[in-house]
Amino acid sequence: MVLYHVKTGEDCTIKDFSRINSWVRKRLLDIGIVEGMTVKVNNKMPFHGPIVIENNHQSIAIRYSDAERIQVEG
Amino acid sequence: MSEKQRYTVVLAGNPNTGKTSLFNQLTDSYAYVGNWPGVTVEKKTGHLTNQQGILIDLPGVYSLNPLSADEKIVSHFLINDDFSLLLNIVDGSQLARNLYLTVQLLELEKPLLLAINMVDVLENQGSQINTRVLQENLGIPVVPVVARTGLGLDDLKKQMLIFGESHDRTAPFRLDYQLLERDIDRISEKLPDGVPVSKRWLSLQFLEGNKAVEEYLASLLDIKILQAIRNHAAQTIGEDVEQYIRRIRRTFIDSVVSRSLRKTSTGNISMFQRIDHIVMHPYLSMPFFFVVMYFIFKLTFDWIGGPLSDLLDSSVFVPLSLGLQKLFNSIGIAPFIQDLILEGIIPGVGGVLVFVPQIFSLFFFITLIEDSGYMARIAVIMDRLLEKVGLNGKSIIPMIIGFGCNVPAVMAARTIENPRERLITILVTPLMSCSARLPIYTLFAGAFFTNHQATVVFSLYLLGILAALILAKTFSKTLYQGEPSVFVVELPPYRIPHVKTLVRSTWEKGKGFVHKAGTFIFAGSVVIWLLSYSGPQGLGLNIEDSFLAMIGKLFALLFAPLGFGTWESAASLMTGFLAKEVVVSTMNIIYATADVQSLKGLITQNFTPLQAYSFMVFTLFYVPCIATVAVIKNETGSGRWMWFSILYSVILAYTLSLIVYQGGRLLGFN
Repeated sequence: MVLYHVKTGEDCTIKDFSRINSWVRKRLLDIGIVEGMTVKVNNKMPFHGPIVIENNHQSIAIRYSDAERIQVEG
Repeated sequence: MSEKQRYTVVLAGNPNTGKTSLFNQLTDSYAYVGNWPGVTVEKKTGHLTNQQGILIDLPGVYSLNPLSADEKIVSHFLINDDFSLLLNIVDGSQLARNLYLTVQLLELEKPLLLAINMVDVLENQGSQINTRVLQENLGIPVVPVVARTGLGLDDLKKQMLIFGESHDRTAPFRLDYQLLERDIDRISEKLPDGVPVSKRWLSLQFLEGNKAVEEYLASLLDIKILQAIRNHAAQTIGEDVEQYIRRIRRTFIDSVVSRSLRKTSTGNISMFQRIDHIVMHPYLSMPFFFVVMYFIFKLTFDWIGGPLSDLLDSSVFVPLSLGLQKLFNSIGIAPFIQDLILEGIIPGVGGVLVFVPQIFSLFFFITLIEDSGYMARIAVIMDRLLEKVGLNGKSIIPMIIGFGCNVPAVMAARTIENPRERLITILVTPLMSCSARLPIYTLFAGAFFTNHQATVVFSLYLLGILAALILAKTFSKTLYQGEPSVFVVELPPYRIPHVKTLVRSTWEKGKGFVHKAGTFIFAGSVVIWLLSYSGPQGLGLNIEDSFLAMIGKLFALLFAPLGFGTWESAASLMTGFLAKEVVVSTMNIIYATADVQSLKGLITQNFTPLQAYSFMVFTLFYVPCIATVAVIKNETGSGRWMWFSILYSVILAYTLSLIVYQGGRLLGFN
């Protein structure tokens, strides 16, 4: 499953984000989002807008196009 | 003490860790704001409050390995500049992530002091940091603080003093990079003696691909030799070197965090997190944002700023003008000087200063949005819409700041990573109606649309936003294509802003306006008055025969189709290029009025409501003020874009005013 398909309010574990834009990947690593981490989907903006994920009280918004390329396990 | 020996503390940390609050708490109100050499990123320097010395604020970064030009500054500074102490502020509630930068700073082997901020947030989350354990594990002093409220700052200042007296207190910090150790040594051996920083640090930074360090090393020796070592290292370890280094650091950090962080309770999910259910709701978020903005305008114009402004006018400026008139009459001062002061300076400067309440109120709310954590959320809410017009959710930040002043707004576009999106944001930001345009609207809306002031003003703001969106789309279609757009935004937890920080930032933003009134507008008023006082036939003429009227008449013809083809309007608009509020100063001087009330009366005789609206639309769009134009040139690094922004805005202003006026007449308005 990809991250964008996780329902709002549900958890998932990040499996693979090697397919996203390398800049975005680096920034996520900097912020501390790594593969194997469990994140919760907090909000999704309409019309394929950004998605807000949370881990350990830290919320990060990324775009639909990136969230669609992140493989997760529900 | 000379600049070199001066006690210099450098503040480093991740973005959103309360760096600005700490900076404000540690320095006195005077901060020198300049630019870092070579790039247009703000460099803030302040004097430490309790001791001799200065505090330099580094840009917020997650890691020393830079992802953007702005982030390069940090590495560049650490290599090339002298400093006495590094003060690393970390967000205690995000300890693991923040310590990544700390490890890189530790490896620098310079005096380092750790301030753990937001320990209160951490406690709300149900955890506590054992500072003693953290201190032992990192080998440096650790001070818990709450920068917002000032808790723990005395202790921090004490620690800074101790460091000031004796250097080299840090025990060398060393992580074992296992398979990479041999390559680290090999690079270190190649480095010439006398490099100003730790060779091990340089080697490590080079290995993980820090571009700033690589550039520095390339200036010292043949970089190909080092690159060969790095390629070799990648082969030995069988994976990406950067990833390998990152993993070793993360393992160390995780073990430190698990030893020093103690879970004391499950923590109470604050009501703040529930706010996002509404504020970030898929469908309610956008209406909520507009309601917030509308309330800000309501408060600024109708409920707080407006009444205060009227009070200021009636209780300060009117009595001042009358008092001075009496005084001059009694001491018999020369009529020329008397006129200069009473008809030039007081109406010119006073007519603008009277709007200080509105402007400060607007800046106050912008600061509130920034400090509460809502600004980052607005970027998320607006991203989809802005992406559609070729911008980025982050473009909303310069646009909102632009309502205060276009100059810092254009600079705020720096946070946008993609160069093309940044350029387009810079170009459309001046369409955001800044507070200097407010005096004009307040004057006209107050005179013509008394009962709907906020609505009329709001409509102008909306018009500006609409024009910005449409033009952004046009520019993004026609301007060069670049790298793909990226968007990663961290949503900081909601915070109740601290009064001191709030007041200080509001003042920092608003003082420029007062300053302008004392310098620019003062000088402008004198010149404009002189032009209105003199003419080809000499001095003290009827204003109709003055130079100002002559110049105004030249342009008046051009403005006739827009509904305000009088020389008075033309002259006011021309002088408005200096600063938009000068339009009001000029009108005050031309119509020779003492206060805003009588000016309102006079313009209702000279304009119809439709003409007034057309005039407001024109002032909204025509040419960014001279300061904005200069900053556009600076930020885009080219005069070409500056001229482009001037040209397109004049055309836009003319077209829209024409549509408003001629269209309005067709619809039967006048």
